[in-house]
Amino acid sequence: MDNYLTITDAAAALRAGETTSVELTRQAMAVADTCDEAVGSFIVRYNDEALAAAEAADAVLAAGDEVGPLHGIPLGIKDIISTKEGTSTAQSLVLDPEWGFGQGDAVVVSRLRAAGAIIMGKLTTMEFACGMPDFGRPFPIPRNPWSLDHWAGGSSSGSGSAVSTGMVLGALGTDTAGSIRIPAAFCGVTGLMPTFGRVPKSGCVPLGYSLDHIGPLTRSARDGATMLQVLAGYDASDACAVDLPVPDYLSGLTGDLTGMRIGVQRLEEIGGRFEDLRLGEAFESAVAILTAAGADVVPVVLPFYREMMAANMIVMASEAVAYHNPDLQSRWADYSPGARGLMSFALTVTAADYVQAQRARRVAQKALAETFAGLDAIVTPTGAGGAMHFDDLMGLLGEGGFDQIYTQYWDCTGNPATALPMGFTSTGLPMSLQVAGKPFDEMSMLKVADAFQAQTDWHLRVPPIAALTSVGA
Amino acid sequence: MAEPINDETTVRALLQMTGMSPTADEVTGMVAGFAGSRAMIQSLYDMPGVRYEEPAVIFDARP
Amino acid sequence: MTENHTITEAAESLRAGRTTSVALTQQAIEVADRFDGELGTFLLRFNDEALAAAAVADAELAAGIDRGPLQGIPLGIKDIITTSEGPTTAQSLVHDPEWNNRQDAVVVSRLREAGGIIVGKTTTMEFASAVPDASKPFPIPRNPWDVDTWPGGSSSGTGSGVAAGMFLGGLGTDTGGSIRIPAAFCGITGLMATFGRVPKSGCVPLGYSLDHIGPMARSARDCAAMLNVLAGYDASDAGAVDLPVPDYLAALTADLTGVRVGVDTLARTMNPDADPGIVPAVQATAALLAARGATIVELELPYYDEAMAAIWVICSAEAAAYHMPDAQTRLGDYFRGNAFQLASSSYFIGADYVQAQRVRRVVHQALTAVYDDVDLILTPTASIGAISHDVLGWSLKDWFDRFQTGYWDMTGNPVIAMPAGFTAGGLPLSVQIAGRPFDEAGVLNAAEAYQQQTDWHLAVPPLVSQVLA
Repeated sequence: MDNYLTITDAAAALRAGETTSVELTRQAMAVADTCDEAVGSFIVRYNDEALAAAEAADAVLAAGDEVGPLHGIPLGIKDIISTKEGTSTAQSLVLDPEWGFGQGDAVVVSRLRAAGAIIMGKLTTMEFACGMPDFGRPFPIPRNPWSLDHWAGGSSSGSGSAVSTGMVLGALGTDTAGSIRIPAAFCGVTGLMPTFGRVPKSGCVPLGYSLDHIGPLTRSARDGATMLQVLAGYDASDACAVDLPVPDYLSGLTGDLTGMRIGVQRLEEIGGRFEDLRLGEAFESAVAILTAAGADVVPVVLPFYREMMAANMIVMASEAVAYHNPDLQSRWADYSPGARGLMSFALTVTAADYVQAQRARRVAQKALAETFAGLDAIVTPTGAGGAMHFDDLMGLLGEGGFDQIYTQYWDCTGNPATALPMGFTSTGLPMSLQVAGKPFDEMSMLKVADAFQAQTDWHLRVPPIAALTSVGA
Repeated sequence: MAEPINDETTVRALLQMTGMSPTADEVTGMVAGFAGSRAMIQSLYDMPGVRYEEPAVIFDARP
Repeated sequence: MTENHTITEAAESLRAGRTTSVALTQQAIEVADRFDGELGTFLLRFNDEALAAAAVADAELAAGIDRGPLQGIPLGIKDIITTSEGPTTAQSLVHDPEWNNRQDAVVVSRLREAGGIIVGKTTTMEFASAVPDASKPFPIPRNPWDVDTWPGGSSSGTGSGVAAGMFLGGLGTDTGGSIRIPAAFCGITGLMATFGRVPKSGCVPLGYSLDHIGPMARSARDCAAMLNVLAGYDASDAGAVDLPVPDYLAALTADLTGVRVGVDTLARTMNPDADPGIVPAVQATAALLAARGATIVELELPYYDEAMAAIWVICSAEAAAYHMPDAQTRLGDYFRGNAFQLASSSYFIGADYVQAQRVRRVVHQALTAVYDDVDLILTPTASIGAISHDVLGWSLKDWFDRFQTGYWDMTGNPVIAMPAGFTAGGLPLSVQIAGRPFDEAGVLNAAEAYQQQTDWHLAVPPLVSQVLA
């Protein structure tokens, strides 16, 4: 059989009768059988349920009934989002399993299922989406499929590595400071954080209430648009959900950027000392491709960048501690050191500081809206380099370590942002381009990302560990 | 006469206030990072335009 | 003095040619000349501007231009809300008096557009939160019912000014009870509309997520006339809600048939110093609502204590964020109560604030379930009458549990405070009626039904009636 790399191709083949959902599901399972132990993508796999769902999906197709856009497509779910097959762990010893079980399908999961998706299992994360890989705990270590000594990125680690290897064709991640876009960048896939409020997040373990986003990780921006079409839209169960109409995202993906204006900032003044040797050239090439596709590019400076890094930490940590407080008091040692690091920071933040950080967010939002006036998108690198070696990882938590990651700004302002592959570092690890849009204008952002991918094939590169499996299948 | 106050006594007081018990290493880390953290937080009060701004999260009376 | 005693009555007299706006304004100025020194109602008076505006109102009315019931009516504005006539002090040495560039706040321009005559800026507690501090160069607000007592706050001057007849209505703000407490202590009616119903841009914030602007006047009908003008979305307030505004005056049928009223005397929360008349006043109010057709049921407000704890965390944190640069450099310039409150905000970490806002949602959801069974909820406004200046001290927190007001700021529901009798010592008592979010019409109509059967709200303090008689 053919090995379909994208949701778009697989869905077309399904409809053309060239493959079946069972075949797609078995193929994904074969990759997982080969790679998961090394890569650490899954917390739990739902093979039996997935195959049963795939058979049912094929029966529907055979009957000629109308099917949804994700019909028969194998997907994975980050293990802080609830599914009906079993409990969620949040990769933690602390999360109440009763809660994990009691939620059933989160709104986003039931939307995926209603669109025909096959749920393959629950994917690894950082503990409560904020810890760090911890070799001392009974959970898989999420490794980078491009180099197993390197981190997959996080916190949607398994979502990134599973899409990269083909264990799933798409996955759900969550993003509070970069947790969709960082693993997308490090694993060489496309990660989409929608506007805050665009996708309901009920049934997801919270990290920072006013910063959390659910979004898709896929190989291509077109696949991301297909998933977003299903995920987006108001639901009253999420207090932050915004009731605005959902446009047809695919209709904008023409590949033609004529008339679009794109702001560009390399952010070397923030993370320059972390830049990979090839970053500058890759970023310049990416911008040149957008220009060739018809866009006008103009330099911009993101306003209050440093202040938003601070506000992101303050808000996230304070909101996390409100949620975790009783457990932090009674079971500190059961949390991983990474999560504890964030929580200890929150103890030095007064209530007034939290309110101030929320005021700072409004100031930055207003200033950014001015920067965005006349622009359709803003592009930056997603990070200064590629994935970190596990030995260097704790350095991220040290002074200025987060300067090399350019994601949290957009969580703080609430704008949508996509990370997409734009080449490889000098050591052969994926590098990533970040495209951000105006609030609720995912359309323009996806249009830019899709046009870039129409001219490049970085997003279709499969890591060697998985390419071998695919050949064998 | 009150004890002299420094970053370590402050961190320990905060931990006592919030009822949390990190390891000795973590307390040392918190003490070492305290001044930097507070400076970062203070930067949000120095931001142009913030003096009269409202918080990003606004209450809604509707259930 | 009993003539043109309410906005409603004055509006009728203006249209019947029995009085003029200039006459009403001159009368208001005269009363202020007489009593302001004693009562500490005004921080700033706009006599010349008010008389000029009154002349315009009279000319317009003569020309057949009718802007509605506020046209030509003297009104007072709490001095944390900006007006174009002059600076806004927030009764503070710290506040930048030129803030908002002497522009009208949205609510003030709406009142002006409706023909209201702005006679001056009224006293408050410093930044709407600190108990009077005699060491600061501002008037001490006194209660017209007994000048040795406090008129309540923080909308102190608006309360005392309406009670004394220095204007017929005014604006207050309410973060923990600051409209309803002075309304209660001064024997007038005060309405806190739903959070987001009245835009608050141009008002110095105390607690961003708790602040409400609302009308204070003698009657519920007068408050309805003012709310008709004040309510409605404005994009300048991030908390404003874009919902249609009904005609609140048209809603005043005084017919409560089919209306279910839940009663909570909150006696279980009261201190030993509670006035013995307050619980009977609530029960008597319930009986009069029943007389107009309402069904009365007893209930208990859910999570009352938790809500009252959480409001301190939220208000302290939001206020401290606003004041932090000044609180670090010039704490001594604040009123003593505020300095204490700002310093005390250090107790709370960011997570505590987030937790308080989570608690707020739990309270709100539980209250919403209570409102499945009732349309309105009746409680006391305060368990005591006006507090003597001798015992007031300097910390509002010492008194906050005597006020049954903060709960509704936390939930954001609309609530009216209205006079319901007197203490044995002749000080006003007050009850509150709260409705579902955005059901100001139901709240006002119940108050109207009550006020058609009572005249507590029309009582004039002896100080004023004796002198003017």
